[in-house]
Amino acid sequence: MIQLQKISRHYPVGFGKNYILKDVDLTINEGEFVSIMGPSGSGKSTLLHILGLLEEPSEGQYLFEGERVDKMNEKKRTQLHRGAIGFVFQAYHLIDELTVYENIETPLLYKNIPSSERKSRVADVLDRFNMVAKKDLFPNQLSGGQQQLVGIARAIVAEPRVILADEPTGNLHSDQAKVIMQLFKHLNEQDKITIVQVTHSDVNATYGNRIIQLRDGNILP
Amino acid sequence: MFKRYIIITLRNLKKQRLFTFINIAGLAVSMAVCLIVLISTRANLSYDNFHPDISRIWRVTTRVVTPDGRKFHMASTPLPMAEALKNNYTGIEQTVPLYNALFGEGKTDQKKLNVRGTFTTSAFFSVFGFKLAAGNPETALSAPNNIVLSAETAQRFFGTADPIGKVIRFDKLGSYIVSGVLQPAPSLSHIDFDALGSLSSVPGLEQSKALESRTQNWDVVQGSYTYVKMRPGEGKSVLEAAIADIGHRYDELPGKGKGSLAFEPQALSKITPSRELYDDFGGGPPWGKMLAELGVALGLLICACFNYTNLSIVRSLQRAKEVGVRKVNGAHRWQIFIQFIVESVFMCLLSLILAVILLLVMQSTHFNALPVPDVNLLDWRLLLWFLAFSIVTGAVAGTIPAWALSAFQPAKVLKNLVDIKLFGGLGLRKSLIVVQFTLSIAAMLFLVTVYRQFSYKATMDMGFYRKDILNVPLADVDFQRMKERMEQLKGVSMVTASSGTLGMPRHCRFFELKTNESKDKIQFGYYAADADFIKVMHLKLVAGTTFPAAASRDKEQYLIVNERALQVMGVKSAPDAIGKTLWMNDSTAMSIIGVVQDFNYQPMEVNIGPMALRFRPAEFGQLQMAMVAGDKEQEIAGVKSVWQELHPGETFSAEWMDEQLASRNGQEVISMLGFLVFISTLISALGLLGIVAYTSFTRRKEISIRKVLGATAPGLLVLLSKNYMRLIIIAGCIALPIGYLGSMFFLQIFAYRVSIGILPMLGGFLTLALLALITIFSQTWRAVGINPADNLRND
Repeated sequence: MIQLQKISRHYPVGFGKNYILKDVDLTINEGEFVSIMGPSGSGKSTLLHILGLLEEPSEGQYLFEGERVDKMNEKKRTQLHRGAIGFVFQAYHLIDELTVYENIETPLLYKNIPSSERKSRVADVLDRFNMVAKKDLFPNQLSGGQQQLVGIARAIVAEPRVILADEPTGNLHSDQAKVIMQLFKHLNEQDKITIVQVTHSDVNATYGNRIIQLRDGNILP
Repeated sequence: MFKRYIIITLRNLKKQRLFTFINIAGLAVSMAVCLIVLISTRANLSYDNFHPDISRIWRVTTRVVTPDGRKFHMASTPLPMAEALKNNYTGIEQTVPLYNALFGEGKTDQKKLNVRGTFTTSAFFSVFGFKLAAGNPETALSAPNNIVLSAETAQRFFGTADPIGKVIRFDKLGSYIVSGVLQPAPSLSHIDFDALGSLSSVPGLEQSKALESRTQNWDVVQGSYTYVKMRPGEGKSVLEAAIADIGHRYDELPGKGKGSLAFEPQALSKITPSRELYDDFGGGPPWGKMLAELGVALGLLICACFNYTNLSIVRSLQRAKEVGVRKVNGAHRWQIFIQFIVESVFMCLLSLILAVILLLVMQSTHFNALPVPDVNLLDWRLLLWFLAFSIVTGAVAGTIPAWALSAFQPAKVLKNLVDIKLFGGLGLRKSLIVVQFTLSIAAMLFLVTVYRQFSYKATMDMGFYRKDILNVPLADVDFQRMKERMEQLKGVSMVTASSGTLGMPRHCRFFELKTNESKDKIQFGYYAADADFIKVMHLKLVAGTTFPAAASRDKEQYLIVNERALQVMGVKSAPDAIGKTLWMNDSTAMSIIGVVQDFNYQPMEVNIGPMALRFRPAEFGQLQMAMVAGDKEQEIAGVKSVWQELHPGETFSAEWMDEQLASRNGQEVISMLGFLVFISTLISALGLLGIVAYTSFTRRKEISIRKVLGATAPGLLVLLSKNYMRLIIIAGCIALPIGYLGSMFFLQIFAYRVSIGILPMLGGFLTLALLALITIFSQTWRAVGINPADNLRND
């Protein structure tokens, strides 16, 4: 499903270059649950951003479902964001001025889904995450774990094929983290959504079925 | 989607109260000014838009070069022009002559009213879009001594009674039978008369010498106008050929050294806004005034838009995350762009509502700082214009911030907010602040000069007395009779009769005189006045006496001239001039009986020229009464009762001379200008407040760290404020020369002017700088006062 070939990412330092990622080859198949691990500065987040088309690789090729996306224009990339990829962030990144319901609805608005279907899909997700009672609250009225649940709900409401999660439990204590990770596992197994997560935690990594170790921009064999 | 944009806008507005207040208040105030200008521009552009086939209607104008080489472009043409064009040229369908000689006091048995009219023919109704409410357009103006009244004039003369067939009498011009009443015109027109007289009356009047001979006279241009309607398909070139052909009769003029004369067509649609032709008529505003109004309004609006742009860009740090999240969730850039445009348009609509409320309040309370036009503001067509205007404003103001915000890369924004480069960096925002302050400082400097000049005008001694003098119209009562009655009143010390008030624009009249020695005529300004004028006005007699009591009331014999006149006549000393004879024409001679010291008989901006006082009771229009200082109300009441006795059934009006002079000397201009400066200062101060508030807010962390490391409060205050002070100083440096130049050009209008005061200007600048300083400190002080622990922990 996802194929990275010789992907590098660097930025100029003086006359030379500083590599964040160097010649990364990576293949992720449909239905996998991959955990990317590594110390700070090893390039985990950059790799995830490249996977999610938020950053462009400096060199190399990126094929998403067989299609080259590293040189895509913004319009096509947005199309992929809408249809195929969902994001979950460490800092949740909910829009503060929108209620829980409105936050979850946002991706559907951009997909031009008719109002009645939007309603039923948001209601579905809320129901599934047991958040119906909280749908009219604003993010700052929720606990961290609940905010992250909303973040995940928003990521899956558009029915993506891949979810990219950047340390989804980094700001949560372990009980909340456990809930979130089980949710991911469930989504992976029941809904057949491919999941790629970046994590520091060995425990969380074990929820996945493959672990990729990064060191200084390289994948350890 | 749209609904969602509005919701999030509202929530943001609620959250950011300061930002909202600054933007909406600034925009609303400047929008109010813009709306006023919009109304008046709309009115200005609506002139003469109701005539059928307006593209085929032209006015013939005249380019005159006088024998001494001065050039005039006149709106008028010789009176026979219309007839000649119509009879001799096939491309011309119809012509309308207007001859503005029908003015004076019109009388019926019951009423006396001033009438301002013109003579014309029946073609008036077939060429222009004017319609008759009563009467037959074919015949209403054919017979001599017929008159068509405007709806308003008919109403004033006859009330609700049917005016057709009634008679209106003029002293010199004879009696006229009302043959028609005009419908009110659908919109403004430069052709705006109280009455239309039949042109066929004119030959008779010329024969009886009531009017000078004009019907066949090709040598006089003034006061008569020619409108031409071309046949369909015949264009400007046909008309040009025709009038060039007529113009050949003036071919021999240049050879004889008599100047030259040529004709030129002017499209009816181009007459208003006017190009300020000489001898034009009608109330159309000149282009210059219209453009100046538009310029001021636009300047203010730009200031307010700058505020929006500026604050939105600064605030974009707070919106950046939202943009990132939206993009990750599948928003196209244009969708984000639209969202922010919607936000700014929404803001403008809120401001519009506020602005309209502001105008309504001003209209109902008659608050006079701004001339709010007396129109129904809630008319739906007007509101539609307003709406379109504010949507455009919103779109323009929102473009740059929307562009900047929609350009954010989600990866960068979501990873690390601190690293974001704001659009255009500090440079853009700094230049916007500088532009705003330059505008308001320059306006301020200009105002200081204007104010000084006008107060100089108000207090400067123009050479005559103006305090405690009450002007009362004579209104056809013999001056001697009224004077005697008034002099018996307790509060009245002296009374004089005159043709106008000294120092008022256009009150001075003009005539020409010849001396025995000179060949050329000398133009004199004059006021008709009686013997007591010199005493009441406190003029200084240098030689001779005032008019003798026995002076003839019918045959003019004596003149009192000013010293300047002596210079022009080449008389060395004042006593020499007494008894000198001046000729008005070959048969009428007058002798100088007195010489007065020069004084400003015309407004300050006009140089003193040769001037005379003439004893012409026929031209007396008012009594000027020197009153004893005391209870003014009571004095006026006394005057009023006497006046009413002499004028049964007419309404009394009186004016204090000093107030009359002050009101015409630009007091309104000052208050208007002052208000505009106040607004522009307010807007730029608000903008500065916003910028400083938000930058200080975003620098909280830096301030906290500095504090922890031992920075003192004064040190921090300087650190935070000095950048802004530098901007104000830069703005000052740019604005000073602009304000200086503007003031200099302004002062050029006046013959007597104040020097450009550098000190008052600096004072104005310092006031503004102080205001800016207070604004800056109010915000930086708050930022410096924060507790470092709060900020460092949260980050």
